[in-house]
Amino acid sequence: MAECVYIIHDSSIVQLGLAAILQRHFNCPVRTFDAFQNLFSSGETIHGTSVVITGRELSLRPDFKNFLTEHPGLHAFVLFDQATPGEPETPEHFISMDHSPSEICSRIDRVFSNPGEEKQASELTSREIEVLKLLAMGNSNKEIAAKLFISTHTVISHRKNISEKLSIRSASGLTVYAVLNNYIDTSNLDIGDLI
Amino acid sequence: MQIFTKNTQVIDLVETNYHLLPVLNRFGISLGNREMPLGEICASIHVDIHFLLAIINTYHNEDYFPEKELQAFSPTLILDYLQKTHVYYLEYVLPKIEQLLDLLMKSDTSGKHQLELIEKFYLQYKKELLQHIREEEEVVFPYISSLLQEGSGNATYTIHTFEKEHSNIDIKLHDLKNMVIKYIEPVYDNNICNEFLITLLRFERDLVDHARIEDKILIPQVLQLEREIHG
Repeated sequence: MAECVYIIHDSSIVQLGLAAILQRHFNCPVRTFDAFQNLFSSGETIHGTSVVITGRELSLRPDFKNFLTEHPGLHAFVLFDQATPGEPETPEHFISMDHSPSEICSRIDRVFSNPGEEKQASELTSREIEVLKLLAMGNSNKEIAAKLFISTHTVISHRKNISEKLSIRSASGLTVYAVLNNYIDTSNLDIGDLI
Repeated sequence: MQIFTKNTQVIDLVETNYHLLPVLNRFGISLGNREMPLGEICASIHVDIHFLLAIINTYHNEDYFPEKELQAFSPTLILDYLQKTHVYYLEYVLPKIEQLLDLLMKSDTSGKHQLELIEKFYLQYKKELLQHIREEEEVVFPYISSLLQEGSGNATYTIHTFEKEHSNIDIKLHDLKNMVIKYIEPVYDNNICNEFLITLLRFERDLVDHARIEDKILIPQVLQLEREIHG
């Protein structure tokens, strides 16, 4: 999902209209600018994954292209006046004044559901499995860090990745997963105590 | 976004969002009202129509959250509503989840007992949820009532003590559902499993709304009361 949407357009009506549609859909901050230099000089920190919507002219400008290269999480959309750009060189992502609000939203959504960018292979790495096993046996982050000779910060980062891959966030949920997959030997344990 | 008004009939409400049925019941509204609009139904049973509309519209539209309007209602109304949702969870939702989980386990003929782990996890979740509800019923709500009635509460307690524990409990419900969807071998009756998951999903949705009313409406109101009383 987008963390922020930037709209660069000289028409306030277009700015307001797009902002209203996108704010409701993405439920994220929407910032509007009359011109690129206003965004550039605003000192705005561009967050992780965001969207910028501009006109065709700006999208071709070298300084804007550089700006995009510097911000890899920023996805640029070109706004056209009519549905088909009708140019030999159609930009990768575009929306149009003719599009319905839902069409605009779904076009932008597609960037975020690109299979290539979706959750990476959900298999756990061997290190993550080690962390998972220790966690399932009731160890705290600090204890896991000491046992694996890594920092607590790294343990937390592993846990975050594990939770994202498995869609399980609680420690007891991860324990159930570990038992289901035979990562821990429960023959001498009362599983109820671990969960 | 559809906004329900005092002229809305129950039939239109239910056709738009049938999840609102139990919400109506919490206000003491049952079915069989013919063409009577919500406004008239509420008047006949002495329910504050504006409060009912605020609650059902908030429940129906995730984007709709008239904080100011909601905060203008008496905390007594809100407490009463929250208590009724607790009763609904305790007397209806949890027993239903348990009954379905039991049926689901009985339908598993694999002898692998994976669902027993799910049951253990559920019981742990239930224990925490009950503890949370008990704390609200026995400590938080009485504290708020005493603030309202006597203009003073237990001086050693403040609403700050009641931290947001919802998130932790919500995570477990979310995990429970996800484990069944992703990792349990489908050696059970699919229809029972679907029913089980739908019940969990509806409960999840209801809890979000419940927590939203507590965190965004009730707690700010109590903080305001505390400021007025203690300065």
